[in-house]
Amino acid sequence: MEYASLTLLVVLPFLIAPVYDSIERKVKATIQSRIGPLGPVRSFLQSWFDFIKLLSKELVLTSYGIALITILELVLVSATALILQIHIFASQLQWTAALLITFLSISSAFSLLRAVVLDNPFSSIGAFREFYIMLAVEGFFLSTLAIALLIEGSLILKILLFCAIALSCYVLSGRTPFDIAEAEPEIASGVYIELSGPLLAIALYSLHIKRYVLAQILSYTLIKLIGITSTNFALPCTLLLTPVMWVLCGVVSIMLGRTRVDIGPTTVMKAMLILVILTLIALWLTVWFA
Amino acid sequence: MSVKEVVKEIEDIVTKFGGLVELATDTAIFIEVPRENLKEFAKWLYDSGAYLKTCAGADERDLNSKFAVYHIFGLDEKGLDVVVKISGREGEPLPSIADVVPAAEWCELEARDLLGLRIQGHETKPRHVIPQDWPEGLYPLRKDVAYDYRPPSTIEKFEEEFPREAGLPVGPYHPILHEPEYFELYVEGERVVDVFYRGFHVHRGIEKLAESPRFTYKTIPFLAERICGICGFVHSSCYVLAVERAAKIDVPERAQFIRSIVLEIERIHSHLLWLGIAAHILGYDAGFMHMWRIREPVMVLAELLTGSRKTYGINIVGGVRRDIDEDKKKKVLDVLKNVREEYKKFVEVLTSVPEIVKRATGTGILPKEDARALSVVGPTARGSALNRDVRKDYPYFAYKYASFKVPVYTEGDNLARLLVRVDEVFESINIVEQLLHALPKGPVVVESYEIPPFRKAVGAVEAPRGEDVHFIITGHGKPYRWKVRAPTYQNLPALKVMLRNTPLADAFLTIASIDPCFSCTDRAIVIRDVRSGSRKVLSLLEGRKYASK
Amino acid sequence: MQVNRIAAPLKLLIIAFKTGRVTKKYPFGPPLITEAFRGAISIDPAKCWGCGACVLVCPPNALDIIFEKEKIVIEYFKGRCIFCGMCADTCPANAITVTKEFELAATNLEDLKEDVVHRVSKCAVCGKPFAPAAELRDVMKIHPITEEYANICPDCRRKRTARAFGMRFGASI
Repeated sequence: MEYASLTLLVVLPFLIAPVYDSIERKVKATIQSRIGPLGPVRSFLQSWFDFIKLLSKELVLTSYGIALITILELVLVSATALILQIHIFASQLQWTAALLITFLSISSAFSLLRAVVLDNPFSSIGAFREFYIMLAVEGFFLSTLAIALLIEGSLILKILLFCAIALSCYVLSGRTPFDIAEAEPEIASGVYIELSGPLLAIALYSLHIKRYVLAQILSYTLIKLIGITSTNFALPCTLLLTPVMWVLCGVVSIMLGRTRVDIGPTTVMKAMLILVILTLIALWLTVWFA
Repeated sequence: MSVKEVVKEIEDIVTKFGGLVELATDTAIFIEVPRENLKEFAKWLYDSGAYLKTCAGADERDLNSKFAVYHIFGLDEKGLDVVVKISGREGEPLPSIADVVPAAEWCELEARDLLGLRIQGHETKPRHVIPQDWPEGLYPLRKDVAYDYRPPSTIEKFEEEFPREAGLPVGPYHPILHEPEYFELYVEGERVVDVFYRGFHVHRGIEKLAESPRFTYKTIPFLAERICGICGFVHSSCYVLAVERAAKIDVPERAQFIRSIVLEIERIHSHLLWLGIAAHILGYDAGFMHMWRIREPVMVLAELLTGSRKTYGINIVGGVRRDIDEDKKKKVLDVLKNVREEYKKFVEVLTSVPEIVKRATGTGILPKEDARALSVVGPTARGSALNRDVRKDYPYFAYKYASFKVPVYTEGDNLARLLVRVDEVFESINIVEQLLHALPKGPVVVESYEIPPFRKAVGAVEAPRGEDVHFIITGHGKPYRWKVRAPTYQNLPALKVMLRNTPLADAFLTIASIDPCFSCTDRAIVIRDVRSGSRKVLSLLEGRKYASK
Repeated sequence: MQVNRIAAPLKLLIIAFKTGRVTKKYPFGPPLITEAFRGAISIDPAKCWGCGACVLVCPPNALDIIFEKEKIVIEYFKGRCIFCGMCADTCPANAITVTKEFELAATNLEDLKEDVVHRVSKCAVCGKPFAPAAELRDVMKIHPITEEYANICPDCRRKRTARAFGMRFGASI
């Protein structure tokens, strides 16, 4: 019985991430006073339809490196999603948390790899922008996540950690104002410019899985904040909160414009520094008074 | 000084230079000077505060065996166009005024390309208007070349034109450009240091087409309307304005009012469109969607008044083809009231989005001296502290009956140009309401008129992008020469100054901030370094060498 | 003030909820045109004279007049039409109406062409075809001329008038 539910849990992100993306598109469209995906079926399955349609388009490969990177990214992101599901299912196993942090940190090295391999001027610029964002946020994200997953602290600590994680998850999810890596009006879709057909389908699917991972981390941290992690409600609540977090990120992205590579990352870094300093102070106080 | 006194002063100066005044109307004065004295005369005009609108070459060999070049200057404070003509036979060298008046370079190059004129100083420069594979010695705008002749193409020549060094190519196809143009941006990291531009990909030969047997005075307004898809009515209005001035046709007042009203509605829709595009460029898609939602009732209004959402088709020589009755007037007033309210609310949201304000401030700066030297027009000029608006300086149609402000900002950056356009929408709504309430009774078109041949006139109309100039020499049944100078043509050289030291991310906003309408332009660019004071005229190919320093 | 500046982008949500959805479901709904809209034209063959005034005034040359031996054909090609309505304004017989049709896509080019074919009257004297019968019929309604006069082609009419003139001055022809 447990194995059945574990299997279901592990497979869930791969099926449902595009569904959440379609819901986000529908909500965005409503805020923009238009219809968006039309009809009850398309409101939930539009991204899946797009995926299938892209698979049927022609593949134009300019270099093998690009195909390799795209597929590697899918593997990496899927592994991260898997580990996250296992951790949520069995959070008492500390090695799952460590493995999660490891996989998340590989992605920052991965984005540097992408910046080096792509040689189209637009994709280089896009990849370097992605790398700047990674630099600004990744370190803080991973450390605060580690603390959140492994340490039980006071309420203030939890709130600060939640703020830091929420900000990082939003920044890393590639939404405006931080979608400068694939800014379509500016650099003609940056990192995605050389992808077509099935490769583009895989790249977009990886993006959905990545957003799922970030949204689920966010909802899990919120559950931890409320303090019901060890109960039976933890798992269903996390699963239900994930789409809520996803759509909330979408709503925030609609209200802001796109930032610039010299403004955005520095602003985020300043915010994160403040949050981290406060977290360290709270942590020290917890230890001091314990 | 009244207009008569100005004309007298100019006449005296002209006689000193050995020329003569052919004609003086209350809007323009036509002068002919000998070739040798052109530069000095142009310098005197420019130093007295005139700015160059355009220059047009004409093949007048049927009339007097000569080619002519008309330089059209404008005296803003007096509201007077000064048209200076020089002429020469085939092969005789004609002087260039490009070192005295920087803005003249393009139109002279164009005259050289299309008519084969020998303009001194421009002989060795690469081709400007016509593509590299056009055969040598074939000058399309000459009267002996048939309008539908298609010469064979030599594709190998294309290789020489485009630079090979590593710049960032923007175009001819790029998501941000609505029409094919080619910009090559030279970047250091994320800063743009130089730009190379090659345009004219949509040159359709409209001026030649108007001289062909396919068109007459009656049908050219429809051709003119299709020069641009956003400001088409401006072009057809400018054309009929020029023809009516040349033939001295007395157009009924009601028609002038209707033309002004429709022009302002076009301005409203164009600025709302631009604001949406600017928001989209900066990543704020909600701004794009909502701005266009607010714009939609204006498009429906245009259809109600004229019969078509775009390409209105109501302008003809002598008046308009559609009238505004009481029902339509009431509808227009209601809709505009709603538009104004929604627009006001939304603009507050738009200008408070932090990314938009931060990115548009301080980028794409055009200093006032450069703006004056390059004779830029429209919101580009008004964002750089130049108070220049054709509706106020050279009143036409019914604008003298409306009172409105001209918004001028001094910073010269992208935000200034954005705010100029934001303010102009409010002003335009005001103008439409005033004109609708003051609509006089009477016919809307004059039934019969005569257009004598070989009369000249200049028409200038304020398009949403700036000043649009049409120059007409009338002929038999259709114009003898029709020259169109769209506002974006005048504004493109300013891009070279504006793009310097701009972050790459905002380069596109800068390009979009002059509201480029490449269909109107169909011209090409020569990069000049106005700023350093050294008038180094760089040709198309040299521009890239400049960038790698 | 600071709160206002932060809250201002949020007003977007208020504006969006007040407005609701504005996109319409066309083409799954009716087309959104006003009463002044100009679409393709329709020539009434019963009224058309075949005079060709519309052909002269059409800016994109979508209307063409073709002279064949016994017929005159006015051909209207929707592919070039710009829906300006100049032909409707110019037609002396008021035979052209501007409809509101704009959904004109077709898979066959010939489907976009409409012809109005006129029978041409022959001259009673020389037998040459000279004018569409419909034009003669309507001109006779407007002007007080006899059928005998209208039945002759302009060349023969000129000859007849010259002969009549000559007779008044004593010539015998």
